Amino acid sequence: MARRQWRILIVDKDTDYVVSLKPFLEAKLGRVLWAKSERQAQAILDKEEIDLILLEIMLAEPDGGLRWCRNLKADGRFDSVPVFLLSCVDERFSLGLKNKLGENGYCPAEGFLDKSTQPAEIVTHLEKFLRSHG
Amino acid sequence: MKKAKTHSQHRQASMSPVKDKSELVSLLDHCRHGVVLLDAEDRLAYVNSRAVELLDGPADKLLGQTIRKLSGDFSAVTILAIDALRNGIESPLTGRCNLQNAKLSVHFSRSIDGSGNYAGTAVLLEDQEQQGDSCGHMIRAEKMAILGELAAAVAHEINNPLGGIMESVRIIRDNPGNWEKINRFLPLIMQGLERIQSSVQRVLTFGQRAPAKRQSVRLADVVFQSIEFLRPRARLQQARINSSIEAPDVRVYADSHAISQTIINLLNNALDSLVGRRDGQIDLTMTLDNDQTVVLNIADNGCGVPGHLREKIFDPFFTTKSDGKGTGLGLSISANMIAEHRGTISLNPRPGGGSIFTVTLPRYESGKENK
Repeated sequence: MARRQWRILIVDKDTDYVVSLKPFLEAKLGRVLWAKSERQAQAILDKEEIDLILLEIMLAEPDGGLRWCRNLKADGRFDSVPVFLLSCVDERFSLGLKNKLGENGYCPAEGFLDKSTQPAEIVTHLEKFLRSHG
Repeated sequence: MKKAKTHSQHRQASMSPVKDKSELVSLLDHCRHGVVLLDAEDRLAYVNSRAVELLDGPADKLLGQTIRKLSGDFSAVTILAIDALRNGIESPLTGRCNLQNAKLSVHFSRSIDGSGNYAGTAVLLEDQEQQGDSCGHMIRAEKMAILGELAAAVAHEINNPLGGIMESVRIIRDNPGNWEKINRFLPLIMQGLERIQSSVQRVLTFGQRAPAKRQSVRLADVVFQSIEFLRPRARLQQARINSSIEAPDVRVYADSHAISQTIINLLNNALDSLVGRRDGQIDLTMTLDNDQTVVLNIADNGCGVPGHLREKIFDPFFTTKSDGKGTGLGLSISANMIAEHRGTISLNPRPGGGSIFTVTLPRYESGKENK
């Protein structure tokens, strides 16, 4: 039986990081699309059907990813698209946001991964999530 | 002569509620941590001197600026924190960032207006190295305090019986060949020495927390021995010790040295409060409450303890005695020892003046080892 091909959207302006992660995602999960800003990401979402979004918190604004995520989850067209925050903010600033996602509706994302996580581990985690969520 | 005010008294005297903004600003400016206040529109409404240094001021350029216009780590961490505080994350929130080569802990606290709406954020920038240093100081200070406490406790436990021993030796010396006195006071000297030995043993096993040797003891015997031990001192200062034992056969499961030390300590305190009086009197009663609890009352007609100090009297290092006469540890140690025996110790004023210390201990009934 052919492997399921998912469509993953990465939203991140950090070229080096995306270039290093992309091959791992493509090898195991399917097609990977890349947006460097919230605007580009929105344009892709309007055209393509996306199974999962990997979103950096710090975009043009330090909280840009969080704000875009909240808008997305408030939009009936996209609220069911799972979002994983993939960021170094907790490693850099130690604010402990990773463990506060669901607190009082702070950020309605499905998960939070540190950028220091090994790519293979990220892939395994996402694959497990995607399989269990159809 | 009126004593000069201590440093802390000066501070207390000058500490009054902050009356105006300029006083508050001056206080904040002298704070060694950076303080930044942001208004509801994320503009810098106040920066203290340390924050101006850290944010590479000057103050007039920083004030009124929105946090998003600043660059670098501080701006990023603050924007993320404000976003979190605005979106339901509990205040305060702590993070870290680097500024001017300083590693900083950054604390964010949300402020709300009268209607409960977000009104801004207070940011405290704390130098992690200074923080570590002050932690080190605190640990050292704590170690010194523990060491001091231990030394004072040892001195106290040895000094207490020493007084009785010296008095007994003096009586024997002053009455050569008086076998009645010798037979009476020699055992008291022996008991005092045993108590010192037991205290030293306790210090040696301090780290191992060796359990106290408990056994079934007739409390009345311990009370009598303790009174006898202090009788010479009482006689010397012309104070009377009366005792009334209603339940002479009642037993407690206890370390008799610990109980004896507590009773001697309470009697010593009572005698201290009677110094200089010719009508000094201590009434010791031992009764049984509900057939379950032994109640020991030690009442004196001394100077008493003022109401506002009664709660503190069992705190370590608290003493009402003048400098050098008390370590402030006797009652604290006694309270701990009685608590270890599942008993209580309390202080009440005596009607007509003076104090009543009450010690309760659970009664021991053979077959039921109420350890």
